[in-house]
Amino acid sequence: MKERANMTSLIECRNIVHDYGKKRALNDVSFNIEPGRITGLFGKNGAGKTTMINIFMGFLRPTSGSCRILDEPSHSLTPKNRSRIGLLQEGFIQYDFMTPKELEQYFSAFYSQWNTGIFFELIGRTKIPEKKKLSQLSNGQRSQVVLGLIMAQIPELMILDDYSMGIDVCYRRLFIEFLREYIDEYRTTVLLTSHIVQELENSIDDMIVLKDGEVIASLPKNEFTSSFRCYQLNNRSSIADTLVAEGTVSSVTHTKKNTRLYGFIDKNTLKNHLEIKGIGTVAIEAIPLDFEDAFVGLTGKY
Amino acid sequence: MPPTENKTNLIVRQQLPALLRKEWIKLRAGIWILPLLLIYAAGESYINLQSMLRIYGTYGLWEVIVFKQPLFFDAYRIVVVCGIVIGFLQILPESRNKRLRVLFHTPLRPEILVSHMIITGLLLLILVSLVGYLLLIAVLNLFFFPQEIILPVLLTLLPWNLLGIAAYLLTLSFFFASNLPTKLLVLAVFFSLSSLLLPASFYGQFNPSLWHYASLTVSCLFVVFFTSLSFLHKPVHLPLFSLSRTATCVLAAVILSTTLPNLYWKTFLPPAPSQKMHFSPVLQEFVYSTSDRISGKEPGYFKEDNSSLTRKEFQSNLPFLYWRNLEKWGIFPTHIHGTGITPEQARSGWQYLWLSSDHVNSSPPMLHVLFETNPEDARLQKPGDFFRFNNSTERIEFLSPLNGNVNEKKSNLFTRALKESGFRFPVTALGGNPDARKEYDAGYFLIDSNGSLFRMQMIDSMPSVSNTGNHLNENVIGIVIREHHRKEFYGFIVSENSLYAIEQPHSTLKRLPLDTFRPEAFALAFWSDMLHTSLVIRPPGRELKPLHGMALNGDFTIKHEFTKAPDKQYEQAILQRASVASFLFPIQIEKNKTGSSFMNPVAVYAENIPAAMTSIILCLIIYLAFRISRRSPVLISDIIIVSIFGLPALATITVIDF
Repeated sequence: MKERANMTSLIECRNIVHDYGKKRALNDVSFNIEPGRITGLFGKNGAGKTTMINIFMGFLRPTSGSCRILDEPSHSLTPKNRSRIGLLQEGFIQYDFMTPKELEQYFSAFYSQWNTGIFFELIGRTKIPEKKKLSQLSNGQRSQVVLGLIMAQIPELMILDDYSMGIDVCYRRLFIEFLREYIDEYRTTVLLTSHIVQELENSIDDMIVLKDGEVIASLPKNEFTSSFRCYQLNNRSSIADTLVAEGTVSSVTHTKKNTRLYGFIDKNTLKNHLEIKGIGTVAIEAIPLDFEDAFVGLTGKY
Repeated sequence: MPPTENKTNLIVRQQLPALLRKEWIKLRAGIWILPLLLIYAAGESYINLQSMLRIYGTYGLWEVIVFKQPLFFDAYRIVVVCGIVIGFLQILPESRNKRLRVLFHTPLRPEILVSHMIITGLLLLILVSLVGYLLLIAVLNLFFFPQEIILPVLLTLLPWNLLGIAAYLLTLSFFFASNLPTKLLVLAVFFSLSSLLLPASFYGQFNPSLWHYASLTVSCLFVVFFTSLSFLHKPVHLPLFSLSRTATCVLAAVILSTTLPNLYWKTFLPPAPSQKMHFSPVLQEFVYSTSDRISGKEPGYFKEDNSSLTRKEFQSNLPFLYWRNLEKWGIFPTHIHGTGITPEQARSGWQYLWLSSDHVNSSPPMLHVLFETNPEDARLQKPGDFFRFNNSTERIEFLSPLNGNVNEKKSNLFTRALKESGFRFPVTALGGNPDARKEYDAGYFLIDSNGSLFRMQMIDSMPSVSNTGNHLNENVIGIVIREHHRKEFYGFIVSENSLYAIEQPHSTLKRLPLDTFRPEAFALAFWSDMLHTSLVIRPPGRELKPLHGMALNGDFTIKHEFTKAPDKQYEQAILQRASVASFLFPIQIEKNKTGSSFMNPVAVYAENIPAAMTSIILCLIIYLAFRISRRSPVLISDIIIVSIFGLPALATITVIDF
């Protein structure tokens, strides 16, 4: 197991605001990424995840606020610190005019800790031809090559933007298994985003959830699953229809027959909240949630 | 040394080969196109020469090349395409689908990453250009062309090579640019440079300005760095970014200040009335005509006091020019101030020559033709060879177009004749008329290193060299020879201060009475007939300057002078447009100096200074307001550039800061 030096947070974001013209993409976003942890950065499409990652890597400069990566401002990362970061860009973007062998030869020149064995082990598991151009490989094969290049760097920080995009469940499972073994050995800090949140339930340590450019949750995953609840009010009523997301109630959904409330809220607190709203006598049923259900409950359906 | 440090050094040594390997992988996909393009260019040049050879023959081919300077090699403009192809091959795979993030995440300084790409591409482009040159030299050698022809041809290629380099750099810039306005600016710079560098009228037209355009081309390097580093969202902490931004602003402002004023004047220059002035031997004063070529109205005819004449009256006062009409109308005069004259004498008794700085400020002939002055036939015959002066060996050499060889016997004969006549090498100026259609041959007039004027002819195949006895203490810019059947003058000598007519038969120099003669910008009509000699001077330029007429005595002293003021309406129209131009473009860079055919850019400050100053102040206010509203710092470099270039600079800064 590789020992990492004790560090403060690897990523520190303070009051990040970013606008695309008149549209605000990120609004007062603050969080830290701690070393040795796997953090999931979640959110619906357009929540601001990729914008955040582009800010981390210096490809975007926030309108205001500060972002430090490995103790350097993100907009002026030195080559030395870039060599400590493994970056997967959304869509597995790589030089598709090169073959896996050419890619390995090229990138190995830039990373002092490059481990050729890791790369060829990963691509060997799926028998990827070394001399075919990346553009001629399937999405799954391409994903293994790109992930293999990142892992061969032995980075301190790995940022994986939507690692699951366009690849099937078998490749995704293969990757998650490999990632777990890799992290156990090298203690890499990982920040990843994905739309398939269910698969990450057992992999991540912490989670950050973005909604409309704001952080609506930043906490350990276990704490989220244990404290985020769903309650159903049987018999839908006109008064229940007036309930909206506020305070500790993250979202409210209505079906034909009932109303569901989601939030970091226990039953008694909910009862008090309902009494204030004039719905004192209705029956409240706790609904068990899996991780994906909790995520949808937190961010709300479209 | 600890193992990690060794490994670090090794990685540094590995990075350069890795980057070069990546460039090769990208280039190999399409590099095969380049030799095909070169073969096409060389092949087309050869075919063009072969075609001319078939039409004109061996001597005629050389004659056409030397005196007409056709661009038989214009296919070599393809080097611009080579630059674009190389740029595409390198940048397209890097920039599609956000791949630039892969490039800039590579753990090397971004300037180094971009520099490697540029160095590889430039080296390849230079290699392509060199191979192109070698192929063209091989083609030219097939036709035995001497270095006097080969070198000017190769120099004519240089602007296209510069444009090829600019095209390569701007292709990279186009794909590095992350927003549409910057891409459009890059395209505007490219098309402007193309309009400046692609056209060529004669060999070596760009020789005086190669350094200027080379500087502009080198500046395109900064555009690449600016657009590529902008990807990292304006990393002002990188000194190269600030420098590149400033250089890009200056480059774009210079280019726009060159092409936009040119476009403006092409579009808005008012049609100039056609004005012609002649000295009337009948009235003993000048008469002039003005006509509007656009409206097609009947021209107006006037005397010096602006009283009008009918067309018939005008023509009857110019019997030498309109003898045919006067004869038909039955009003041809029998005497003019006591001198009897017939229509036949009027027909053949005058000589007209238009002389301008273009005659001397253009590419001199690469080789010369010495006719047999006393031919066997009634007409002059083309000699079958060409001559040149070899100043390093102090010889005159006659070359055969059949094999490119020097006729040693003839060369030695003429060299000896020159030296025995007292001629001192090197030749500093020479002039002759290579047109075989002339009625007789006056030979060549030469200025030696002592400033003495010699005359050289070939009479019965033997050299005839004589010292005319004239000595010029000033630099001679050019000699223009025009044999005329009146046999009054051989031609003219243009020096740095004066214009001389070479009078027949003794080559006497007569200085024209031009007080403020400027050889770099003059234009005059010289008229001589059996009764008088006159000059009408119209300095070149956009503005309609006054026409100044001088009637001369036999000794070239002034007998009568008259100045015709420019057309008031036209003058007013020009002033208005000049004011607008001054507002829009405080600095206008003209492609060539007035009176010169060479491309030699000259910066001209606005004619209307208050308009220019108003524009600059407004631009500065807009710039400051723009920066303050965006909470961006005000840059001293921007202030300076806007203060110099005005609107073009403001437009550029607005676009690149979009």
